[in-house]
Amino acid sequence: MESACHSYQMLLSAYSDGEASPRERAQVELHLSSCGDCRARVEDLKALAATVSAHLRAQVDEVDFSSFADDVLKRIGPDEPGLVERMRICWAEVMAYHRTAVISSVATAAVTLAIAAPLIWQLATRSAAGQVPQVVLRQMQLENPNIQPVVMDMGDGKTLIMFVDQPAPGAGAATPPVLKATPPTGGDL
Amino acid sequence: MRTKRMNVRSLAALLGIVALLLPAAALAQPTRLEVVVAAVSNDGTQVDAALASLAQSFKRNGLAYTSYKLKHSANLSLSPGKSASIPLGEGEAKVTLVKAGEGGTVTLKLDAPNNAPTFDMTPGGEFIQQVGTIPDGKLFLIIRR
Repeated sequence: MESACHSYQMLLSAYSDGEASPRERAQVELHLSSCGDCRARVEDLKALAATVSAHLRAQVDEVDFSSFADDVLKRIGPDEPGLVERMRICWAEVMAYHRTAVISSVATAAVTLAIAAPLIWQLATRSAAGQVPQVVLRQMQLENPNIQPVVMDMGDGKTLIMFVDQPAPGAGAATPPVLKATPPTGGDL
Repeated sequence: MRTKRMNVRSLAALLGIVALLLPAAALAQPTRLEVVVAAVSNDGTQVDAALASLAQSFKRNGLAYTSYKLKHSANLSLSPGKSASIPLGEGEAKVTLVKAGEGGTVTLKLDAPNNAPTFDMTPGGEFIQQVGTIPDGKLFLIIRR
């Protein structure tokens, strides 16, 4: 198995179940456009999911749920104190027996935060500045409205526009064209 | 004394004009671009040396192609408003430098057979677009700065 395919094994399952995020779906569709093995695997997963679903539906039909709500209510025990009340009691016990430790811990945490926060802020700002895209798509005119463009920021200043003209069987009809560019103000993608 | 003061003023004015014209001169410099046409497919395992980094980048992003063949490569030098044609085997693409902005950003327009994108690119940027289909693969045009 190709290493590229290996890293898509988990995503293929989520993709075939319709549980992949839009970004994951775009990545999988890009990969599927270049890999016949994974296209076949997606078809197998969809067939398996359909079989399991039909089997479970048949099992559920055999179960009598008429007394389900009553059974659940019977199992619920007597009222317990609420979460806030339990936390208040817990806090009171801690303060009664470990007051000094609590105060010194809070003071240490505050000092650490005061020192670390500016450093973390600097690092975050620097890393955000490093992610400024080097290619920004402003406009795109498609000659053929039936093709599916996939725009991907590949990192390292690379932007890829690819046309998935061989979508996974069955996926094309269900999913709209994926267009993941962020045009600047005034862009008219 | 008066002549000396006038000379100093003239020199200052000249320096001021030069300082104003320098950015304009910088913007008027032609922009250098590298264009590459690559046939990427699953037909064989040949990876041309010039496309090794593209192959790695594709692989890292989940594209499982095995063959990367260089079809065309050229260095372009474009001024604002100028175009250059790029042969694609069957047909051609045209890249136009729409404008050169500040900070080295240029706006380019690509007229490819299937798509005509306009995009901004800063130095170090790389734009890759599919410009055709080949047996078991695709034809890509890469524009680098």
